[in-house]
Amino acid sequence: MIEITNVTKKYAGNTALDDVSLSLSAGKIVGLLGPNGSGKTTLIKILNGLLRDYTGEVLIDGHKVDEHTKGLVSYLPDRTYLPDWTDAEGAIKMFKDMYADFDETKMRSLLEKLNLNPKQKLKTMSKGMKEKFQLALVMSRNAKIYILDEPIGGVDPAARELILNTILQNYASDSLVLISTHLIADIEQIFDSVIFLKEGKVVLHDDVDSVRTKKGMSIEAYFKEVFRC
Amino acid sequence: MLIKLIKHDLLATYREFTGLYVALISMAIVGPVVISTKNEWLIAILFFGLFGFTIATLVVTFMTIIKLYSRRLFSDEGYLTLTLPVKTRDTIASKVATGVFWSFATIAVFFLSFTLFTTIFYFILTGTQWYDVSVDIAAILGQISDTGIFNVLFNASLLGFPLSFMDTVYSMTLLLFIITLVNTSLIRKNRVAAGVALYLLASMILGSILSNLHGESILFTELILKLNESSGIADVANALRAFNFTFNGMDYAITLVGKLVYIVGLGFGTHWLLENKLEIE
Repeated sequence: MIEITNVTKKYAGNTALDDVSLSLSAGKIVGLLGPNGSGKTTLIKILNGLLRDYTGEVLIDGHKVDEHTKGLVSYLPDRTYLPDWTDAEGAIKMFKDMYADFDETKMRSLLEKLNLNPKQKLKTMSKGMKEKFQLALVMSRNAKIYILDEPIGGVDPAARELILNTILQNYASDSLVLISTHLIADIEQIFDSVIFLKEGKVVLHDDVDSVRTKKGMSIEAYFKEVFRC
Repeated sequence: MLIKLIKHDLLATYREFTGLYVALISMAIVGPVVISTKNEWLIAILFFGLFGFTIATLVVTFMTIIKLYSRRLFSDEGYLTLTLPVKTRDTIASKVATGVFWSFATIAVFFLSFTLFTTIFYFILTGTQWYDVSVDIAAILGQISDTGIFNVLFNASLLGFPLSFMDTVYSMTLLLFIITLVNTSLIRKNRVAAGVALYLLASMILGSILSNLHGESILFTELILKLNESSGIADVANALRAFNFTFNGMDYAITLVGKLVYIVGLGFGTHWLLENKLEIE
């Protein structure tokens, strides 16, 4: 589904991604793990076409990043990307207009579950509410690939469970879910496989069960060992 | 998809422009009333305000279009705009179309405000009612129409519209190109300052290249009105009869083709930058 070959990205001499090669197939939930500044968001931006100046090749469903691949990927960035002036209803209309795979019925039911008011202006929503609302929009698409950048990064522990359940209950089983996070303990139980990124390099890409068996420890414990300062 | 993009870009910007237009029209209505008070201070403040507001409207229109481009494409909103499943050329076209729409809307509202201002001012000044003047206006319009001035103005507008349309599209394309350029991996520091400097430089260079290639496409004759106390409507009519314009076909064609070449070049340039050098922070 996603083929990344020898991708290197530099910012003014600093290497954010260093010769990264990955192959990600459908039907899996993949954890993209690494400390801040390890290159997770850079890789995600490249997959979504927000960074174009890099070397190497990225293919999604056999295509270079273009309007076709953007139609396949449902992307949740690590920030609020909806304009403040709109209300939830306006954002829903926009998604309905722009994404052929957007399921409005699913969205309405998610709004209810997440206790969000469709008439509420985004600027009056708290940070947590905005994050839940964006997640609902993203998960209401019947996409082939979900790319979620730090979906639980800015919410309290109680909301984390709700968000994880929302993700688990709303992705199609034949789709690929790529989740970037540094809060591993909260989320490692949902991963099928994990990628460790360290200083722009892939230091591990393996199935979760295999890592646990080989290393005899949880993903979080192994993460701490790999990234110990 | 392009229509949907334009629709959402218009929805994202109409609030800023609506406020501006309401203020313009309000001033056009209130202005004549202030003048009728014959209070010199109030009138001075009004004209100072009108002058300032006219400049402010042009600046605000320009700044709002800049904001539309930079905010919708290169701020947090860009994470949505640039990941929509649309062709890059549609993204560019929708932004240019929205900018052109608001530029012309601002001109239209200016025109409407001016008409409102002069009409209300006329009614207050003469103390007449609409039913009194409607007959007079019709008669005056009839006499003016006989001079052929409306035909002259209509023909000039017909010829001038493609020029001003192309000029506006060119301005928007240049603006979008520069804003895109300063949001790529080619420029990573002092992006705002670099953008302003590059815009001024590019406007100057491209403008002087084209102006060296051609002269004036539409040249109006001077309208000479020498009126005194004994002058009547016939004197005005005679002056209007002499009013005309000369049309220079070659200069006109060069201007149009030149602007078209710029638009295509800048459009392709923006497309290339978005596809190859984009670097959202």
